[in-house]
Amino acid sequence: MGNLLETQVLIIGAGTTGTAIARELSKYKVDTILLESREDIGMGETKASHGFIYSGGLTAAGSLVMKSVMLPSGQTAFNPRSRKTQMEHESIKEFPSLAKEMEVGLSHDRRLMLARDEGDLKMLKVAERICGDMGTKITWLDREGILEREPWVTKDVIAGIADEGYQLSVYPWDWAIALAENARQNGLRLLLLTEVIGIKPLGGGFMVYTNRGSIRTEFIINAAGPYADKVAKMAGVCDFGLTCTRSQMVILDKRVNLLNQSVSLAPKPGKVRTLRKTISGNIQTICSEYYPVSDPEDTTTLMNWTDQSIAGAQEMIPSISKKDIITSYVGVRVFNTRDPEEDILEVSKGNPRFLNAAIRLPGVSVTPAAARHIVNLLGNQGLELATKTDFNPHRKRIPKVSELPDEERRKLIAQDPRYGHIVCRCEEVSEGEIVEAIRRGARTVAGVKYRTRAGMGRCQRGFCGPRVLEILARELDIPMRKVTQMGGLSRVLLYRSKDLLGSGGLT
Amino acid sequence: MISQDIDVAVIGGGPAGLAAAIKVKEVGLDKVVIIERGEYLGGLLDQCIHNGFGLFYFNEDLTGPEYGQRFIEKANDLGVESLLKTMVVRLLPDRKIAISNDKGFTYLSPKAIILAMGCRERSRESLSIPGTRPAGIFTAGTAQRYVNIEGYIPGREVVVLGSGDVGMIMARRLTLEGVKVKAIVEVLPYVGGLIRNEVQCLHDFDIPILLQHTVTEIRGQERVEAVTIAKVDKDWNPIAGTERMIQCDTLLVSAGLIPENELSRMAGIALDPVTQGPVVDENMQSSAAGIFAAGNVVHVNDLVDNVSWEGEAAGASAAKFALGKAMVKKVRIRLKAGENIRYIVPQTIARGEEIVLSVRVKEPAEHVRLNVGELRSQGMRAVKPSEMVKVSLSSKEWEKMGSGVDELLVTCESRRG
Repeated sequence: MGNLLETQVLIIGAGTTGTAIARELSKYKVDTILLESREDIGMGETKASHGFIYSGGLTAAGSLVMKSVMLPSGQTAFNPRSRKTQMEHESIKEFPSLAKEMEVGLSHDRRLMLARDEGDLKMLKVAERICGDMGTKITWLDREGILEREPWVTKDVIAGIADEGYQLSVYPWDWAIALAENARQNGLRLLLLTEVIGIKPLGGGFMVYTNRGSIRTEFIINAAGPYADKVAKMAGVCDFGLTCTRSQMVILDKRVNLLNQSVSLAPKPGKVRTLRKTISGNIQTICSEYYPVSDPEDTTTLMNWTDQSIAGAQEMIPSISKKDIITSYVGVRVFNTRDPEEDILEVSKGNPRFLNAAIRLPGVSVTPAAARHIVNLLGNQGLELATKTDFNPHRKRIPKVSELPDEERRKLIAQDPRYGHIVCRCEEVSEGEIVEAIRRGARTVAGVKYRTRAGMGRCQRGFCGPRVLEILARELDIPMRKVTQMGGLSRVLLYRSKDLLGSGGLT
Repeated sequence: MISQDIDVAVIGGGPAGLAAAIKVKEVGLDKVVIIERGEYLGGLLDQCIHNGFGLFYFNEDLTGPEYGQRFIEKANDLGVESLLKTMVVRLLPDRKIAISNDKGFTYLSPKAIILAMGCRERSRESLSIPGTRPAGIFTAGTAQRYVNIEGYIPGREVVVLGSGDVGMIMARRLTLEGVKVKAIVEVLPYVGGLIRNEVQCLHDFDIPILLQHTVTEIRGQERVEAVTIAKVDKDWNPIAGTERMIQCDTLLVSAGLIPENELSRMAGIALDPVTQGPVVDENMQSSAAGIFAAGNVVHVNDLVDNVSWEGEAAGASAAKFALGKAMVKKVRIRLKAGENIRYIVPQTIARGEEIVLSVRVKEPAEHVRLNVGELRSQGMRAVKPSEMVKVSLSSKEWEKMGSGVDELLVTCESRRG
C-alpha cells in the first residue's frame, strides 16, 4: 500500500456487515475500499457465528419466550413494527437468490421444540403465541409424532411443536468471503492487515491513518463489529456503547447420526438448549450460557462449558457422549447499549459523512436490507449513485470434488489433476481446492480451512495439517516457517532442524 | 487408469497393508494392488527413525524406515502393484470401492479387500482441552513428521500431554534437537507406553514425567505461551489448588490412537466399541464377506511386528476368499472380556482351530493368572495395558471344551488373594 490512497467510500471491517455493504455498493460507480485489520475476511465474530437467518420462525420465537413470559397476558415480546423485524422480513426473501448468484451453501433445516413436563408445555404455548404474532405456522406433535421424526430424542418427551417452514442458515464466513469476492470482481479494493489508528475530518471528508499508510476518503462506513465504538471515537463522533457476551459451542463427529432436524428444549430462564445440524452434517450444540465479556478477543474455551454443552445435548439426545466431540469454540455477540434489540444503521449525528453499521450479534439475517439501507443513506448524504451497467452478480464457488457427480469429478481431474489428489481425508478436500483457495486470497492455515473445510473434520488437521502447510508454502513461495495458522505471530513451525543445537551441536 | 480385474485390493500401504499384499502374492494370486494415500509406501514407518522395530519379526533391531524397506522391497520383487497419492473415498458392502488420484476418479471391484488404514491420533480438540486456540499445538505424530520428514522443529520449549510411545519418543527426539522438554504430563498413575521407551527416552534423557496430572488450560493468543497443569483425582478430575503454569511455546498431544474406520463405517461393517475397529474372526474377516482387516485399523498395537503378522493372516485369508475357496464354517465361539481384560482380538473364533489371541488388559497387575475359559490358564509375573499379551490356543487345548459352549470368558485374575 502506498503512502496515500484516495477513495470515495471507506468501509471499516470485513465481517458479514462490511462485506454486504461492499457488495451492495459495488453495483454503483463508486470508488470503495474495504479495510480489515485481520489477515482475512470474516475472521472476527463472523467465523464463530451460527449463521441463522431469522425472520419469524421457531428459532426466533424460542429466544423471545423468556422475554414474553414477563409481559401481561396476550402480549409477546415480538415487535412486528421494529426496523429489525422489517429488515429481516425483507432480507430473508433475498437469501435464496443471493446464495444462488454467489454459489454459497444455504441450508434448509426443520425445527422442533420439545416439552418434557407441564412447565415446558406452558413455555411451548407462549412460543406458539409468539409464532402466531410472527405469522409462523406451527403444528403440535404428541410423543409418538416426535419420536417418529426424531427417534433418538429423550423418551421423557411428552409433546412438541414443529415449525412448518424451514430455518435457513449459511456459514457466515462462507457468506462474507463470497460477498467480498463478488464485490472485488466488481471493482472493490480490499485491504487486509490494515488497522485504523486515527481518523481526522478533512475538507468535507476524512483522512484515515492506518498501520500501513493513510487513506483520504469522502465517506466512512463503520462496520467494525465489537470495535465500532472505538472507531467512532477515533472520529470523535461516538454516541453509542457496545457490550459483548460469549458462549461456547461444540461440534460433534458427523458419524453421530442422531438428528434429522434442529431440536430445542422449551426455554428456561438463562438457558438455551438447541441442537442443530450444520450444512456439513455435524451436530452442533448451542447449550452453554451467555456470559458478558469485556474483551471480544477472549474466546478461551472452558471445561465446564464443554460439560454444560454435552449435558444440555444429552437432555435432548441421551446417547450423545463427550467422546463424540471433534471441536469446541467460543462465539462472541455484540449488542449496542442504546437498544440491545436493534441495530445501529445511521448517519452519525456528529458527522454527516460518517455512517455507523453496528448490527446486533454478527447478525447475517438483516445484512441484505441493511446494506441497501446504508447505501441509500450514502445517496441521501450526497454521494452520487450511478448504476454500473456491467455489474456482475455471479461469483463461482471453489469446486468441491466431494459434492460433484462422478462424471463432473472426472472432467475436473482431467482439466487439473490436483483435483484428484485428496489432501483432507475427513472432509474429502482435494489439493486443487486448496490451491484455488490460496489463489483467491487464503494466506494462512485458517484461510484454507474456512474456504475449503480442510482440517475441519474429525481428525482436526492430524493428516492434512503438514500437507496444507506445504501447499501454502509452495503456492505463496515462502519458507514453511513463515506459514501461520491465522496470521500475526501464529507461525506453525518456529525452527529448522539443528537451529537449536548451537555451536556445541552437530553442524 | 488401472485394470479392473483385481484379485485383492489392500487399502493402506503401511506395515499391515504391505505384509498382507506380500502374503496374497505368495499364496499365488496375481493381481494385488495397494492403494496408499501418501507419496510412498511404508506408512508412518518412514517417520519412525528410532530403533526397536523387528525385534520379534526379524530378530533384529531395526529403525522404522529399515523395517519398512524390507517389506517394500519384497513387495516390489513380487510385483505387488501400488497406487500412490490415491485416496479410497468410498467403500461399499459389495466390495466396490471408489478411488481418487491425479489420473481420475474411478470404481474398482476387487474379489477381496483388506482394510489396513491404520489409526489416527486424538486431537487437542477431541480431548476438549480448554483454553485459547493458538498455533503450537500438535499431535505427537504430526510433530514427528515435521521433525523427521520435513526437517522442522515446532518450538523451543515443549510440554507433552500423555505418555504414549510416540509422545515419549518425540520427547527424546526433540531433546536431541536442543529443545527443552519441560514435562510429560500423564493422567494415569503409570506410564502409558512401553517400559523400554520409559527407560530409553525419559530416564536416559532426564525428562520429567508428572503422573496423575493433566493440562487444564492452554494459554497464548497467537502462539502457545504456557499451559496450566493440575493434579487429578482417581476419576481424572483436576484437583483445585494444585494448578501451576508451565511456560512453553509448544504442546504435543500423545493421548491415544483411534483406528481409522471411516471407510468401514461407510460399508456398514460392524465395529467393536472397545477397540473401535472392525469385529474380526480368526481369518481377520470383518462382518462383510470378503472384506478383511489387519493392524491398527483393527486395534492399536504396541509393536509393528504384530501388525505385520496380522497383515499376513489377513492376506492369506483374503487370497483364499479371492480364489473362491469357501471359508470353512465351523462352530463360532465368542470371546468375552472378563476381569481386568479390555479386549480380545479376534472377537470370534472357530472352534477347534489353532489361533493366537491378542489380549489387552485394563490395569497393570503383578502375579496374575490369565485364563481363556477352561482351555488355558497361564501364570504371568506382570501385565500392563501398554504391552499386549499373546495367547496361542492349540488344537489339543480345544479338546477340553465341552460341547454346546459358544463363549469363552477371558480373565486376568490376581494369584494373591
